[in-house]
Amino acid sequence: MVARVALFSLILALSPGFADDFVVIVNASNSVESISLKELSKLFLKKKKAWEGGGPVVPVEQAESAPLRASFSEQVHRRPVSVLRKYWLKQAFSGTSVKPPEKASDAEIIAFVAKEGGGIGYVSADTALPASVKKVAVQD
Amino acid sequence: MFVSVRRMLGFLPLVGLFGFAMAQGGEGLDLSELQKKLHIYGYFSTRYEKVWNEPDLQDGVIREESSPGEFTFPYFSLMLQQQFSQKFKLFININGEDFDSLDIANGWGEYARNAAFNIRVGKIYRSFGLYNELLDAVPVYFGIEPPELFDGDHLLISRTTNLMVWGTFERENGTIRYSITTDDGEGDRGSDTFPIGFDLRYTFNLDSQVVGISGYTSGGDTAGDRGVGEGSPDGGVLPWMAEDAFDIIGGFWEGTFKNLTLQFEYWNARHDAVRDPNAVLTVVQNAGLLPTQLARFLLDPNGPLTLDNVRTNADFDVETWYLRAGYSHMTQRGEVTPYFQWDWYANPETIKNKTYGGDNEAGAADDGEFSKATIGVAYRPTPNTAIKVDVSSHFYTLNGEDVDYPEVRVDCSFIFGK
Repeated sequence: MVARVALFSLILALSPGFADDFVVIVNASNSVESISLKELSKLFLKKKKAWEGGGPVVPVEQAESAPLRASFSEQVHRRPVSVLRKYWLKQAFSGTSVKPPEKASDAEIIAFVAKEGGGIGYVSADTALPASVKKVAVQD
Repeated sequence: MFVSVRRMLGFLPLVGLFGFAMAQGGEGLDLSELQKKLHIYGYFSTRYEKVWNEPDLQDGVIREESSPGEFTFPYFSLMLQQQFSQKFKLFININGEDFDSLDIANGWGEYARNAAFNIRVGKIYRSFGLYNELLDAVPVYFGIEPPELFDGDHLLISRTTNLMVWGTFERENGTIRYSITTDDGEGDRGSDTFPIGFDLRYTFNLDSQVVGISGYTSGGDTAGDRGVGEGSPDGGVLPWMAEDAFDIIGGFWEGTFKNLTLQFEYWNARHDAVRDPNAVLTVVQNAGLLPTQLARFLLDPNGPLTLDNVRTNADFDVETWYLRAGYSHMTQRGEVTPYFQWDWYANPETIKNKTYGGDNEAGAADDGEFSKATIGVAYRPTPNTAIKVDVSSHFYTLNGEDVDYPEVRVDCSFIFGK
């Protein structure tokens, strides 16, 4: 019995659960209510460039040194920020794309998403959200 | 510079057409000012390299020579990228060592119908294997030298093309990307061929794995872009060929496992060529060929240097493969990436003298084959700065003996802009 409990605890500890230290936000006018983890990764890597409704997706990132950025990168892209940095350099030097703009604080991220109709960002889970943006549920 | 400008003129009308379309196109002009921002970025790079004890065959005896170290003055690459609307964008890549040697490496416009159909027109790095689209950006990859198929003096294929149709298809676990390219052929000497290139790759596991194939056909007999004595060609046709019909096929794979990245590529270029007897005699008389190379070019290597003595038929394969491995490790003082590379390359037709269109690696070997083992380390004290040091050893056969020589390189680069 003890061995089973230990095994169960180990499986729980190793499973790639979705931590709740950030929430994903979009512009309040966006009809999206939930999003899968894979789709979220594609949106932030600019692999999917348009919303279902047709408007352009405009992702915005936390600063590269922000702990929330590291957490988002590991949980959503399953890779560290350093690997993602090389991804964006390759995109830029091949003329394919450029990395999303980076903002220094949750407040700046919220302001950006509130201004850009197709905006999508992520902020600390305990941040109060104004009516101009809305939280999107993320499905693992 | 004048050569570069002249070459640019050939495709500027096409880019202009795109500019006109952008000015006229109302559809999709729904980007915010932020998204239409002009992005300017690039990098500076400088390099030092030195070779020791390079074997050379002189009067039938192998002697070793050490060349003086070569320092490449700061080289820069300046890129401009602008999205005019959801459907139109422009990209320009200018590089050189100074303003006298400016070259427009890339200049293209792109129309994106949807994810699956995009048209790119201008001077474009063709999508071909893991490196061609990134080859200018040495700060990005962990080695200093490009893979042998795109080394400057022995290109397997011309790096640029003029028209590329490409697109992506999202699947449940990955992305399929295709591209089809064409242009006005290898050389500037005129040909009526219709070359076709393609690339097909599948990226999966959140971009951590890439597998694909690329290919190219010259579409018939073509000629090179350089004459004999004008240096190494910018494409796959050697200068002493009167005509050359060739096809290339190859595959590539990149896998990232946590901090470890592995890359592998294999390429084969099959040439059905005819040598130009006059050009061959010029090469034989001036380029200092090895006995095995003389035996390939002449029917009787000890006979008279006459047009009748030239062996005109030249069917040969160029083959190459490489394995690269890099392990990225973050420290408190920056990112450290030790790397290892093994390159193998074989071109039985080439010669050593670069002035006459040769390759001083494969051309130094009896049979045109060499291997190169490289170990090095890349250190990034900041995300935008890369300092790389590596050492290579070249292995090949010269005058029937197995020989080798070392080479060391140091590269510093700095990325600017966003």
